[in-house]
Amino acid sequence: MNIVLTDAARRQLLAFSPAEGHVPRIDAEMSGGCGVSVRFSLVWEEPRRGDTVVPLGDDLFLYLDRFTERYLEEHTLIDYRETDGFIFGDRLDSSCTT
Amino acid sequence: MTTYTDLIFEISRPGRIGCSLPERDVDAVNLSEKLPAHLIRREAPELPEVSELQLVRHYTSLSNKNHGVDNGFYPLGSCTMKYNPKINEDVAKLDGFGRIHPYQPEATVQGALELLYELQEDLAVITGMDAVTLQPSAGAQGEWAGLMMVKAYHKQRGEKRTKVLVPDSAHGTNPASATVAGFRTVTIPSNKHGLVDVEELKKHVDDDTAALMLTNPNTLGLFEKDIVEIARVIHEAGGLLYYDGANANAILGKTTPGEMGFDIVHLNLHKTFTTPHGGGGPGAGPVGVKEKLIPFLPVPRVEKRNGRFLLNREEPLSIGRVKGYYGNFGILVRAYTYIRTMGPDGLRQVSESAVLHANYLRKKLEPYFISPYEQVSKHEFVLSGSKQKKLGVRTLDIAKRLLDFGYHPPTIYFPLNVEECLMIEPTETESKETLDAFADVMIRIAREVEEDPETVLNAPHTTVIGRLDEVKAARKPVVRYERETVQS
Repeated sequence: MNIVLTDAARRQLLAFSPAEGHVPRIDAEMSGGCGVSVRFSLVWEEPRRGDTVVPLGDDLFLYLDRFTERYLEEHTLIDYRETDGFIFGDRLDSSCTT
Repeated sequence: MTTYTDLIFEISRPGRIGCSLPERDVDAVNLSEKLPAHLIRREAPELPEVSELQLVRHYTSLSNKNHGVDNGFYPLGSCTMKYNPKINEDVAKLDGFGRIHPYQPEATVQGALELLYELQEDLAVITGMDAVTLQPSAGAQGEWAGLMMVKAYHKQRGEKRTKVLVPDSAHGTNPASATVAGFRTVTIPSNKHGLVDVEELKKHVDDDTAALMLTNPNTLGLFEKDIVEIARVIHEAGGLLYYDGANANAILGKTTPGEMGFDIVHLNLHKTFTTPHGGGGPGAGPVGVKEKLIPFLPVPRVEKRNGRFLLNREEPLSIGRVKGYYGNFGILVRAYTYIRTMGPDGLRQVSESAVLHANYLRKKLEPYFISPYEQVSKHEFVLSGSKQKKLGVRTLDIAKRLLDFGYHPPTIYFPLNVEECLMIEPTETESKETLDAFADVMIRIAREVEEDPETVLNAPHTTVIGRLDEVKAARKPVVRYERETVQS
């Protein structure tokens, strides 16, 4: 798994002061009903059992659970924009839908 | 050994045939004299070549892999996967219903028209409406037809209202239908109790509000206790109240949308009235309306005059025809059969049992999953898999694990306002033993999440095909058979 941060995303991650015990996580959120779509977000939460921890330099680590890992692209670029927050994917869409 | 999990193309052998065609009794045609060269196939099509027995075994095997209410529990929330009594099929096959043609003169199909008329009347009583059309061929088409009547109603009053309000727990078809009907939708948030936030609703209601679309009980399985106040707010602003009848299984014989203040109702006959689900139809989504909307109903309408039944095509304010002929007649026969079989007391018992079953199952599962709302459930309930999520197991994994035990999973990740949602609707037709067995499996899975998560994360284990790579399927779909693709 190859996760790359843009400079803006890296700056934003380093600047954030999370609550004690919380770590930055890429989280796949599903919305369903008649068909299911997946959207990624970057959140700060407590670690989950079985998390994969991806080192990104500068003492930065991103956490992913198995479920999120299944849905994330093998190569994922993460950017940050003031207007949109963290955005994922090679094409830097605001969301990734499968 | 042929396991009959192969594609029919994979068991094909050159020259093997499963049928004998009769001798040709017409002269052969030289295609090149009749068709342009580019339209004539130069190679034989790659059709499977199998014996009749192989063919029968192949499709019998496929049919055995299907899951339906007839072979297993199917607690798919909001879909009301109840048992469809076989007497419905017997009646629909009667010659007088199954072998008539919609172009026959009305005088020769009086029985069929009488059935349609009586079904309209029955559904009007059941919903508390003044008139019903049976034309729409699905719930969503009923929504659209209802919204077109909303539009026609306001236009007739000299108004052009553009806004339809939809709660955030609504079925996705509600905003979709409103958009297709030319309205813009505004989402109304739920409050912490899972109900429409009435104060928030009031902020969005104005003289541009055409209608509020509401399901009651809502998709969380909770009865909207403020419905009378909601109706007052909408009506005082000149809007109409639309009832999505997807959850009507909870209220049969107990109350009606009419009593609650609704002006328009659609019903999903395949949910509440035991007509077959699935396969894309045929379906039926009848729409009932209050008196002020009757002029706008689709035509033709089945009416009774002087003891005879007829199709009335003469209504100047009607939104017109929304379906060929008069809806999907065979489906309507099945729904009518169900209503007549059950009778008023039976239908009331349906709702009472559906609500009892949902609450029984909810109470059994609450110690193991998060139950986000306190209010007593109606015919379905939601659980959150957020506790399991913290342990690295998601609701989708739980749904996959249920397949190992022969259950169709509940609806998942809907409604959207419940994290890791499981939406469970057991229906009234299941036995206590089935509910208990399902609860035992859910509890077993909850324990596996804690003690043996890999079993859940890698499920299913007993199905013909294990966990699918859904990402690959979505990003690189292979939707056309090619011998090379299959063999690789």
